[in-house]
Amino acid sequence: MDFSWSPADPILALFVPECENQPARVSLAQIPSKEELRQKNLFSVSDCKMYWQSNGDYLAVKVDRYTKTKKNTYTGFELFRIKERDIPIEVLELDNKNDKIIAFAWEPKGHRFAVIHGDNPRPEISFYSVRSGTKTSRVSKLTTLKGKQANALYWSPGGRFLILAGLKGFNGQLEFFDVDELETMASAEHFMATDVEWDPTGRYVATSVTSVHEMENGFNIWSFNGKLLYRILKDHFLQNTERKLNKEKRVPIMVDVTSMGEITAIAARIGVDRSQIDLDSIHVPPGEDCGIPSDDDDLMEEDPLEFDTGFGNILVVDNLPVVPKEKFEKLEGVVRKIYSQLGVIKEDGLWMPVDPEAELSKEKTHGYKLDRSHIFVVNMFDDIEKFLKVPDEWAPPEIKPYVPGENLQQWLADEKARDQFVIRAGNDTEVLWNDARQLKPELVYKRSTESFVQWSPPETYLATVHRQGAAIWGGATTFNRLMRYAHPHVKLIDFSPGERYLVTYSSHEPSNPRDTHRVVLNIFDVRTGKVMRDFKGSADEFAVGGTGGVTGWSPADPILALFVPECGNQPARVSLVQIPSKEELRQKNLFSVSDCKMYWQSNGDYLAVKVDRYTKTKKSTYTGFELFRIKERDIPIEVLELDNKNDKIIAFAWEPKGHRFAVIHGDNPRPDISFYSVRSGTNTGRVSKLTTLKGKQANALYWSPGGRFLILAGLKGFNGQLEFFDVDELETMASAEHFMATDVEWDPTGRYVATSVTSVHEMENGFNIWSFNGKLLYRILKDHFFQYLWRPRPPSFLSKEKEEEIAKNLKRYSKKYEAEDQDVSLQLSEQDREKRKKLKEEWEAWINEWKRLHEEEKMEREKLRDGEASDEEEEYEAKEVEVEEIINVTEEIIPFEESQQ
Amino acid sequence: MRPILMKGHERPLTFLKYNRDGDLLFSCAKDHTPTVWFADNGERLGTYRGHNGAVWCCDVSRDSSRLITGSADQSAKLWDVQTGTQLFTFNFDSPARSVDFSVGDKLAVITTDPFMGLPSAIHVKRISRDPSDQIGESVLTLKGPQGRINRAVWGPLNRTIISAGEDAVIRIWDVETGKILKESDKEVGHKKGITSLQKSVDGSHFITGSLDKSAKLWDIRTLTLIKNYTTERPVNAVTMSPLLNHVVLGGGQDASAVTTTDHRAGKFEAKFYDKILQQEIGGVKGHFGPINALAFNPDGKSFSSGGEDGYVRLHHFDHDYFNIKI
Repeated sequence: MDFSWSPADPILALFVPECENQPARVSLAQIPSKEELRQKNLFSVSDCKMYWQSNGDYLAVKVDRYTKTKKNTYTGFELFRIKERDIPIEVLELDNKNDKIIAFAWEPKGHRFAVIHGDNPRPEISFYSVRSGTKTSRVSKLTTLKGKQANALYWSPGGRFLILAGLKGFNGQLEFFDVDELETMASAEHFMATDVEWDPTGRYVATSVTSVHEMENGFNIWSFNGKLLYRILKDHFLQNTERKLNKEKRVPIMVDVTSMGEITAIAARIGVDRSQIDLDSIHVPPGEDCGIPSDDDDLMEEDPLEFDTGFGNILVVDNLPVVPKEKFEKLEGVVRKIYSQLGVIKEDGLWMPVDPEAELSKEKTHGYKLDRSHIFVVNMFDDIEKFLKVPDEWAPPEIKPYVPGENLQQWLADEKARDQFVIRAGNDTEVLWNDARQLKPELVYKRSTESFVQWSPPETYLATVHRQGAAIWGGATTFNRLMRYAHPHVKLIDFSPGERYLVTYSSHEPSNPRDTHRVVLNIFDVRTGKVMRDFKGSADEFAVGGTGGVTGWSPADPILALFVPECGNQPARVSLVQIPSKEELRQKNLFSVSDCKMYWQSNGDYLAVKVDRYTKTKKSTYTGFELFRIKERDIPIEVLELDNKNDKIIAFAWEPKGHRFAVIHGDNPRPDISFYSVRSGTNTGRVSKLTTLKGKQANALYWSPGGRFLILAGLKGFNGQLEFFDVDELETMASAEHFMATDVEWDPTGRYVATSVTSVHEMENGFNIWSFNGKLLYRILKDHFFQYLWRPRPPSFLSKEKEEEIAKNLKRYSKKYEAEDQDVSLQLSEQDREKRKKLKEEWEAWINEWKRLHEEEKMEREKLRDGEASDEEEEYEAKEVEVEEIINVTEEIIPFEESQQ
Repeated sequence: MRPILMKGHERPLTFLKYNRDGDLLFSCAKDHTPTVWFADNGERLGTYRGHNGAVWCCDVSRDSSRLITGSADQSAKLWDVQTGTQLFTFNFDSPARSVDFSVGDKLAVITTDPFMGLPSAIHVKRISRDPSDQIGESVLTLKGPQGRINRAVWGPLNRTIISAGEDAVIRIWDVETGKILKESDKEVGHKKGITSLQKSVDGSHFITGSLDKSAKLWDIRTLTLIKNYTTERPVNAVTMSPLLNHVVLGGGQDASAVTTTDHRAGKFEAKFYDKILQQEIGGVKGHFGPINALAFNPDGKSFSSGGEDGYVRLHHFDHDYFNIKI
C-alpha cells in the first residue's frame, strides 16, 4: 500500500498491491469527491514508487516487476499526463531494462526528468522529456551520460540546471549539468560531501559535510554553474537549511476531529487499511490547505521591507545662479536635464529654493560649469549636516594616561622553572603549566577557539586563528587579547623570527581548473595591528623559481641551499648561495638523481643532502648522503653511503646543536637505526658510524632540544612504541609505549616529552608527559584532542663559556634544586597522606552511621528470615571441622607362636 | 595464581552469581542454559535446561536451594538448585532482564524490557516455600521509566526497590505504595545508560557502572553519591570486594566495534580501584572481548569474570594481593 498526493491538485495517487485474485493497480483519485480519475492494472509487481512532477502535471510510477522465473526483477515506468484529457498513460522502459534505478528526479515545473541507472561504481544517467519538439505526446530520450560517479540528482528549483552528485561512497563528486544544452558546465568535488541543497532562487547551491563523519565538516557555497564561491568549516556540522525553505506549509491534519470518520470511510472504500497509515506522514499539497487555516500562516508574512530613511539619497546642488522668477522654469529644466542623465529624479523629488540661497554635491557635477561664472559645488546632504556640527572652537585632544602593559615575559620567571604548553581539545583551548613535581598540569587559561593555535617563536604571544582572522593573546598571569588581525578565511599564519611581524595567508582554490589560484597575504605589525603590506592576486604572480627545485634556508646564516634538477645537458646540482650577495659558496654536480632532500643542522654548521639516484637500469634507486661542513674552510663535501645502499631511508635527524645524526633505514616492519658523527674523537674530518641498532619498531626520530637524548618513536602503524635512547652512552634508557600515539614533542628545555594521541583516531585521545629518560609522569585523557604545543623559550642569554662553566659545576648548582625537590615531594606526600586520612575517616564515619541503623533493624531482618538469627551475614568465617568417622572395625586374632621362644 | 578458564558456554556471558557459602558459582549466557560450577576448582556441576532464549540474570536463595533466572524468552524460571528441575515459570509479554531475591527469599523482583510497544516494568512476585503453592500473579508492578531497566534490587528490609537502566537515572521505589521515593541527581549522576548495579555485602551501599565510562558508589538509603571511579572504557560490569576496600570494573568497547580494533585498544581488563581513595590499583587482563559480568566470592579471596568471548575466568588471588598498599 503506497500513496502520494499531487503537489498541486487534490489528487491522490494510490498503489494497491496484489490481493487475492485482484491484480495490483495504480489509481488516481480526486479528493474529496473520491472519484477515480484513472487506473491501471499491473502484474507481478515486486515494488512500486511514485514521483510527481512539482506542478502535478506528470506522475511517474516506477514499477519493479518479477521476471517469469521470479528470480529477478526488471524496472519500467508508467507515465501519467495528469493535465491532458483522459490522462493518457505511457509505458517507458530503459534501453537496458535490467538496469537498477539508483535515482529519479523530475525537473521542477518542467517536462523533463533524469534517471540514474545501471550498476555502481559507474552508473549511467539518462534524460527524458515528455514533451520534446514536435513529439509532444511521446516520451523521448534526450541523452545518456555513460559512467558517471553519481548517485543523487539535484535539479535547480527553476529547472534547466541539474547537479549530478556522487555523495557518500563517491566522495562528493559534483557535476553541474545544463539540461537545455545537454552539456556539463563544471565538474568539482566537495570531498566527503553528504548533502546538496539549492537555494530557493536557483542561483546558488550549498554542499555540506554533516557530522556523519568526524572530518571536513562544514559547507561550500557554489554558483549555479559550479564556481566555488566560499567555504566554511565547522566542526559537528549538523544542518544547513536555507531560511526560505523552512516556510514549507504544514497543515495539522488532525485538527478537524469530526472528519476522522469520513477518512475511515474513504479508507474503507478505496481498500486501505487505515491502521497502517501514519497520519502524520501525510502532507497536504502545497498551496492547498483543504480549508483548514494553518498555524504557520503568520510566519508566512514577510517582514516589511526597510527603506533607507536617511538623507543619503539627497543631493544639494549649490552655486546655481540667482535668476528672476520668469527664468526659474528654464533653470529648473536645465538642472533636471543635468541630473536625469545621472539617475532618476523622483516625482516631486526636485526642490529648488526660490529664495536666493543654496549649496550642492556629487562628483560628476561638482565643478560643472553652467557658465563661466557659475560652477556647481555638489555636496551630500548628510555631509553638510556633519560639517555643520564641527565646533568652531578648537578643543585640545584628550590625552589618555599611560597604562603600563603587562609583563608579557613573566612566565619565564616562574619560580619552579616550569614550562607552559597549550592544548586544543573539543572546542576548548587551554594553556597549562607542566608541573612535573606534582605530577599534574596546572591550568593557566582556558577559552574556546575555532581553528588552530600557534605560539610566536620567541615566547611572548599565543596566536589563535579564527574565521575572521587571527588574534594574539598574552599577559603576566592571565591571557588577554592583545591584538586582532582581520583576515577573512585565514588559513596559515607565521611570525617573523623577531616576532615583530605576522604574516597571514589565505588562498582560494579555484573551482575551475583553468582559473588561477588566488592567494592573499597580509603582513601585520604585531604590536599595532596595522597591515604593513598586503599581496593579493593569483598564486602564479608570487611563485618564483623553476619547477622541481628544492631549497632550504640555513637556520643560522643567510645561506640558501638550492637543488637544481637536471635540465638539458646540465647535470643536476646542489649549490649553496649567500644571500643577498647571491655569491655561490659551493656547488656540486650530481648525476641521475631521482629525488633530493636537505637537512640542516640547527646551528647551520652542517648540511646533509639526501640524494636518491637511479641505478644503471633506471629501474630502482639507491640513496647516498652529501655532507657539507659549512663552517669549515672551503666547505668540504663528503659522500656517505649506508652499509647497504639499497636501504630505504625512513627518517633522518640531526642532533640539535650537535654533530651527530640518526638515520632510520631499511624495510618496515623492523628497520635499522644508525648513528653517525661528523666529528667523533680524533677523526674530526671524517664521518664515522657510531652504532647501528637492528630491527627497531620505529619510524620517527625526536632529538631532545639539548641533544644527547633521542626518542625512537614508532608512531601510527607501530602503535606508539617509544624508545628513549642516550646517544652519548649508546644505550637505551627506557622502552615504553603510548598506545596509538600520533605525535611526540619535547619541551623546550629537553626535560620532558609529551606524546599525544590526536583525534585522527576516535579513541585514546589525550597526552602523556614523560621525563627525558622515559618515566611516565602523568597522563591526561581528553576527547577530541587536536593539538599539543609547548611554549617555546627564547634563546639563552648566557654565553657559550658561561654555559660550559655551569655544566662543569652542575653538582654545586643542582644541590639547591635537589633540596627543593625533596621538600616538595615531602610536602606532597604529607598532603597526600592528610587527604587520604581524611577520606578514610569520612568513610569510617559513614560506615559507622550505617552500622548503627543496621543494628536497629536487626530484629526486623530476623523476622523476614523467619527468625533465623544470622545477622553475621557480613562476617563470613571458614571453620575447619574435623570429622572422624569409623568405617569398619575388624578384629583379627594373630596366632602367637610360643614355639619361637 | 593462573586463572582457571571455564569453558562451557557457547555464547557471550551475561551474569555471574556466587551462592552465600561461596562454594557454587552460577553463570548465565546468551546460550539458553545457565550453568553451575564449583567455585574453587571451576568444575562444571550441571546446567539448568528449559529456557528458550538468552538468559540475562539469575539469583540464588540464601540457603542455596532455589535459583531464579530471567531470560529473553519472556519468562523467569524457578529451579531446584540441586536437581536442576524447573519448579515454576513466570511468563511475561517481554524479555525478563533482571531478577533478585529479597531478604528472606519470600519475594523476588523481576524487570521486563520494553517490547513491541510495551513499556519496561518492574514486577514483584511472591515466592512460596513450597513450589506447589507458587502462583504467577504479581504482588506489585511498577512502570514509568523510559527505556530498558537493566537492574533492579531490593533495598534495606525489602522496603524499597532500586532500579537503574538505559535512561541513566537511578530510582528508589517504595514497595508499599509503588511511588518513586528518590531519583539520582542529574548533575552528579551518570550521563549515559547504566549497565550494572551491585549491592555491597552488608547492603549499605551499591555501585553502578555506566557506558559513560564511570562507576559510582551510592548510599542505598539516601541515594547520595559517595564515590566516583573514572575509567577509559564503557563499564559493563561492577563488583565490590567483600573483604577489602576494592571495587572492580569490567567493560570494553561495544561488541560491534571489537573486531575493528587491536585487542589492546579494547582494554578488556578487569580494573581494580581503591574504594575509598578512588585510585586505580591494577588490572587483570585475559579476555578477548569486553567483560560482561563480574562477581566476587563472598570470602573475598577469588573473583570471576565473564566475557563476550564466552569464557568465565576464575581468579584466585595471590598472597601479594592482600597486602597491597597504595
